[in-house]
Amino acid sequence: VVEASDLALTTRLKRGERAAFQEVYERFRTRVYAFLLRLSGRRDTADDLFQETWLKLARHARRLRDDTDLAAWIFTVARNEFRSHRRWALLDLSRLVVLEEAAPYARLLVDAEGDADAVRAARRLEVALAALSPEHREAILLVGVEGFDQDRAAEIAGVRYDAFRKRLERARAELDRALSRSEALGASARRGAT
Amino acid sequence: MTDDEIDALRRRLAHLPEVGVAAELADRVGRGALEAFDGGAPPAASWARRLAMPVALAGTAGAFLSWAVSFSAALYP
Repeated sequence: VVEASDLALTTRLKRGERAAFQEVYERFRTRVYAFLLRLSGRRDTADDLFQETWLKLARHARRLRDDTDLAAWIFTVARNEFRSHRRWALLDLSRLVVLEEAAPYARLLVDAEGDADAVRAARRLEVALAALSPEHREAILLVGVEGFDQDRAAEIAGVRYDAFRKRLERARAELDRALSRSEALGASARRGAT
Repeated sequence: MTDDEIDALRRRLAHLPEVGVAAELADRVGRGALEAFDGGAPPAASWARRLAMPVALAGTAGAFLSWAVSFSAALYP
């Protein structure tokens, strides 16, 4: 169910109100950027896809349906931009290496400030997320981080509800395994340091 | 997944750090998108990226050709 405030915002977007566009941008820009950065694992790619996502909204705003779920629409565009980028990147041999090297992006995401244990836990979480397949990472991000229910997340991911539910189950199991591996590695590194 | 399992997953992921958009990028994209919303031309960067795709394909074809030539040379010295 789309909230009344979102429906009103869509109506204003369709009328071409600049303030409505700015409001949507302010509300979603950080979430969309984080989603793209974690999906792509690269800041330069995330920067490009972020720009393309907002240009798509700018160009399509007047043609949105009255009952558009804005959050789902924007995340669908962002996700499709990433998929399209990935298809192109896979055709480009010179970028294959870059895709393979994407996992260490977690270093970019974790601020060195704060309690050391918390930083370590956050880093472990980012590394585990980065180790997931793109489909599994997308499922975890949509439901676990962005808070979409499974119905809406399935629509964004472009798959049927049942298929998405199974994908999410597998993604969670993969995340658990990745976290266990990372915890075991961390423990062995700490033992080695002492 | 059940609602409880999803809640547990969300609690676990709540430890992920915040990721911010660089101020310069947020400003540039915001202005460019607003301009496009008003019916203006798209920012140059997006056109540059589209042009890069055929160039990337040409690069891929070139790399394959080069590999095929060296492979043939190795087979038939």
